Amino acid sequence: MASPAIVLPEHCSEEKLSGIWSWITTVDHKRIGVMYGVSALSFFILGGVEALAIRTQLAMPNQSIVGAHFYNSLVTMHATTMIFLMVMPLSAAFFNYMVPLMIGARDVAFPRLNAFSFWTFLFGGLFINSSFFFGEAPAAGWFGYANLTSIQYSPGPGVDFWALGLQTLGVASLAAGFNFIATILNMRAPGMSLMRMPVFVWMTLVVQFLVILSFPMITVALILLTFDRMFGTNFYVPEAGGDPLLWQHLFWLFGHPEVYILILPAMGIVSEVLPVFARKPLFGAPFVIFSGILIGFVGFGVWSHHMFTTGLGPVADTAFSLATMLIAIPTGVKIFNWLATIWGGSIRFTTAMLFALGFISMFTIGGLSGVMHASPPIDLHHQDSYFVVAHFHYVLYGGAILGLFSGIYYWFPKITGKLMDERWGKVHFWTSLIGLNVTFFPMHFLGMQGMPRRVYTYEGGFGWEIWNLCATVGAFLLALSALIFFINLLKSLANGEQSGNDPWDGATLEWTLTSPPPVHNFDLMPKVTSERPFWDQKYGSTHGHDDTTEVAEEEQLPAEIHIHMPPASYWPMVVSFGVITFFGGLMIHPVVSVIGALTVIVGTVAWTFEPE
Amino acid sequence: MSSDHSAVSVHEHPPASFGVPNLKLAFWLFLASDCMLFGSLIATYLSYRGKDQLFGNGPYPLDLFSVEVTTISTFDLLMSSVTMVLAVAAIQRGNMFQTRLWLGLTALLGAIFVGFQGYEFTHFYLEGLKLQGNLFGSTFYVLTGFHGTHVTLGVVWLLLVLATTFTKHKSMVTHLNVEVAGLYWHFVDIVWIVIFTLVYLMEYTV
Amino acid sequence: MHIRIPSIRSMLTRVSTLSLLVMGGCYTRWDPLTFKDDPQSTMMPMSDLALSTDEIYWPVIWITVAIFVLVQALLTVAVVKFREKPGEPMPEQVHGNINMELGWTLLPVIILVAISFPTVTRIWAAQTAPEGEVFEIKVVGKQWWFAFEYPELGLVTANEVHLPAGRPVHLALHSGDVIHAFWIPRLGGKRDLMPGRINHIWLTADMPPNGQDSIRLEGQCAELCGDSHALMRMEAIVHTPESFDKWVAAQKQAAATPTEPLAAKGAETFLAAGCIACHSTDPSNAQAFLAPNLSHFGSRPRLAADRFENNAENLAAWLRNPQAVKPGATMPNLNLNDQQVDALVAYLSSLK
Repeated sequence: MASPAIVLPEHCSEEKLSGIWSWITTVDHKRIGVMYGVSALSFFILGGVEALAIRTQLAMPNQSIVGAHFYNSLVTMHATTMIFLMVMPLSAAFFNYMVPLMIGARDVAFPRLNAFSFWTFLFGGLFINSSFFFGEAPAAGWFGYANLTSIQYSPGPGVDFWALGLQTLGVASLAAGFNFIATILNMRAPGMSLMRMPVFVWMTLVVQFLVILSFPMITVALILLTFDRMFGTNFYVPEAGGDPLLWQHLFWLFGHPEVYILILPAMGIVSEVLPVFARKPLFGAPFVIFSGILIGFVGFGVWSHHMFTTGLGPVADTAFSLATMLIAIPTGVKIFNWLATIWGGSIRFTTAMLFALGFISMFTIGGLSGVMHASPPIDLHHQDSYFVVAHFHYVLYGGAILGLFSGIYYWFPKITGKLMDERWGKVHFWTSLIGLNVTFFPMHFLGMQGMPRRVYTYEGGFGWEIWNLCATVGAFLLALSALIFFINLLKSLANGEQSGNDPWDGATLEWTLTSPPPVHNFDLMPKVTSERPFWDQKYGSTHGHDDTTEVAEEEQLPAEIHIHMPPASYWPMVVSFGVITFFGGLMIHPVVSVIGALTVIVGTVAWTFEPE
Repeated sequence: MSSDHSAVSVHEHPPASFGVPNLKLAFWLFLASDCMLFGSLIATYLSYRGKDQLFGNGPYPLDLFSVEVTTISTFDLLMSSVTMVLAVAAIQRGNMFQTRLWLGLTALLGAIFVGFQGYEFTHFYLEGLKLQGNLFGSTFYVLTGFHGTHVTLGVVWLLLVLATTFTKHKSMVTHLNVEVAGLYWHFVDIVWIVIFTLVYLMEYTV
Repeated sequence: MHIRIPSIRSMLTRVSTLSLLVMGGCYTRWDPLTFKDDPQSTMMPMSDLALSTDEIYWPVIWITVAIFVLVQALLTVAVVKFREKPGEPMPEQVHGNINMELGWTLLPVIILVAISFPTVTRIWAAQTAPEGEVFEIKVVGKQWWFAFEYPELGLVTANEVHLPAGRPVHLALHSGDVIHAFWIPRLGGKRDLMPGRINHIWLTADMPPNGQDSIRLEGQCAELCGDSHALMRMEAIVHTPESFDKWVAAQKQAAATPTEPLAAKGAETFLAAGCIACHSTDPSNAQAFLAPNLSHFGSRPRLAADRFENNAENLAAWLRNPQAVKPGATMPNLNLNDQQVDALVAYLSSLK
């Protein structure tokens, strides 16, 4: 049967889709995904440079390469950058690019809202980092504990940049959250029931629910902080009866779900990569999915395990300790299911697979030290010591970042049509793996030796010298691995080998498309009969029952198909600009904020009356 | 959007695999999110409630509240929910005159509520309740102020919808769009009932 | 060592002990990682509180190590055994197995239950005041130093806390500005010093080992509290009862009157330059939370919140420009000239 001709609207023509203006006004989820990815990797370099500065300062005792205040800024900005400007947007890059392809959709539910999310994120990230050039970068730590953030103890503009910048990033994340839940729930191809969705899409869904339910709490925490600093209220001022502990509750009510916002996308990627390269379906897929949901759900009930040292009393400590231990169960279930997935498979050691296997190994270390902290007596030692630094770097580098790298190597051919160089990829993997262990494993020892975190200097004689030096050497090894990655990325982009449409023998819908996919994604809406639609198409269904009958009837296709595509729009960017002007204006002059607010209103109205 | 071709059925998405239109679904999600926002603000208010008395730092709620005035403004806001329902029903019947009438009336009742709040804020301020003064002042103004901002934005929204019915974009004012505005409006109304109960009425219980 | 456990929770305690016994063999310390010689080690308990943590620390470490080894072993076997071989047929397409799922759901449940019993008893034990008489110490954290008040003795000290071994001690934790954390690892886990709240630590310090009179234990602030957070250190000195009495007697002495002329001149400078506005030389001045009490400054081996050796050179550098030594320090730079500095050094060092 002849395929029908695809007719796209005039605004999707070749020349209309080239040049910088076409990127600024794009509403295409694939291009927005690429922009998220490029921004996130740029911020990765920035956060990495900050990490190197920190490790250089701590390489030996009593160094003063950077001053105390600037060191605190480095620590704060390293964390803020890596969490909000690197891991979250790099995950968002995959959500954007891959989720519509994996569920067989033309785009997300609200393409222009999607563009708005990206620009707001970018402006927010640049805004926070601009603080380096305007006097003072934030220096009160990434969780900005009140009342150190009060105007009395942090008189500089740094905390304002931080609070207003995070507020902006929150707006971006919330908008993306509504958009992606609507996309995933509503735009699945026929036959793709929820339990047939790829696990990566499932984890995206869970993450977006976490975003929309947890970000409002940090929004409120930051509003109260901003009111305290700018309008003289007393929410966190103990002298007037305010309670700094309120900040910690609101912050960690957001902050703990945030941890799962960071790790679940990587778990989703690994759940896609392992089956493909073991040539088996994901073992116990429903259990992996429900574990993810359970982690997200219980994640809202464990926030006070970050606060065992604050003296909440034995009842709260007991409750939060037990709830935290509960989270270890679904996490363990995931790890064992991944192991069972590769067990009995036929494993191909591509770079993507190596990173996924590295994820299992390294994340287990971070997960197990997490179980230790669940016990308050132990946590009272670990809290705010280097042990906890080791713990969350195993979760975030060994977990989230290795997972995301796996995703990059896995989906790069789909996005660019070219393969990444496997030889350099493997060098990248092994330097990463060795580098991260040399950097972060000794930090466990430092914690046991009583070294607190966030100290800009330390004395000799505590047994800390050797491990600090070791960690610094490891950090430079990690920097080398990142350098190798970037060279590989650019080289492969310029002259990588042609990948073809399905280089890995994939199972999910995105591999049915050309690489890179056409602007409108699917010519015909795919029909889905299992959780591995493309695999079934190639190898036949592996489920006992065969429900292909429901799509057996031939459809009469017309000779040509006109596809509706949303036109490009600059209004999302204008509204984003209004948002950042509003928040930034609070630091400059009320008039600027008013201009920002008016820009938002005018932009939104103009946006509404644009043709869709 | 579905006017161009018969082939639409093979490419365009089913209207919703979840049974709720995208816009409405996204709005429900927004409201869930907004619940957490107001939940946090209310929790902040409650956790500081009565703390000023320990510090001897007045004025206190009962020095200022006039339950009669606030009951009237609450009644006003509740009535606006009724007119909102009538507006949604009118657009569904395709009765543009009634749609305009009820939308306008809803916006008016909303504006009256904001007026009440403006009066209350001015009155409290003159009585000595400052944003910077005590915890009651900080928490009260921020909580009710955020609610008032929601109402104000709602009024602007309703007026924009109303204005659109008089322009060439009239066809954009669909049942779905008005219903979504209504969802928001009812949500803001419900939040006020919670605030009215927890902030005002609770002061009068023993 | 005696561990206080409230009687109403005795059943819990019994299960807890049982869990510990089950973990039995796990409670061995692996020497290379006890960080024995490190002064701030968390692995060398010197109090009942620290010991009760230690008793759960090691079993949990060994359990996690065992799980880690299991996962890595499975991973390694899988990677070696199931690598793709040329011409291999398609592997069997297994979708899952309910019994295995149940198995690896229940296994962690059992382990976690085992950990939770000793955890919960320790949570309660650590936060319950012991019966009988306790020795009270008030701790106040400030940017960036610690003040200690001993209400029963009418004494105050700065950056050094003196404890009698073998007597239950109650540390009442306060903050004078932002959040700090009190952490002397060998005495136990940390607690935050929260502005507007009071936190508590109850512990009984062990006797100094090897027949020593006293032992110095290192600690420092563990919550980011501003620029010089890294420099906010302290020491606990645990005394035998006799040594403690001796220390109290010495501490109750009024500050020494300088005899040497340079030191006498320093005493005048201390008043004239305004040091006295914040620093008291009266050992009993209970209101001395403004700045460290200096009545026995010369007897302290360390300077500037336990960060530098207390010698003439370091002290002079500190007096000349406090901010250069301790960024953001609230002690103002009084722009003292060399003579004033020398005199003050002589005076302060004489305050034994």
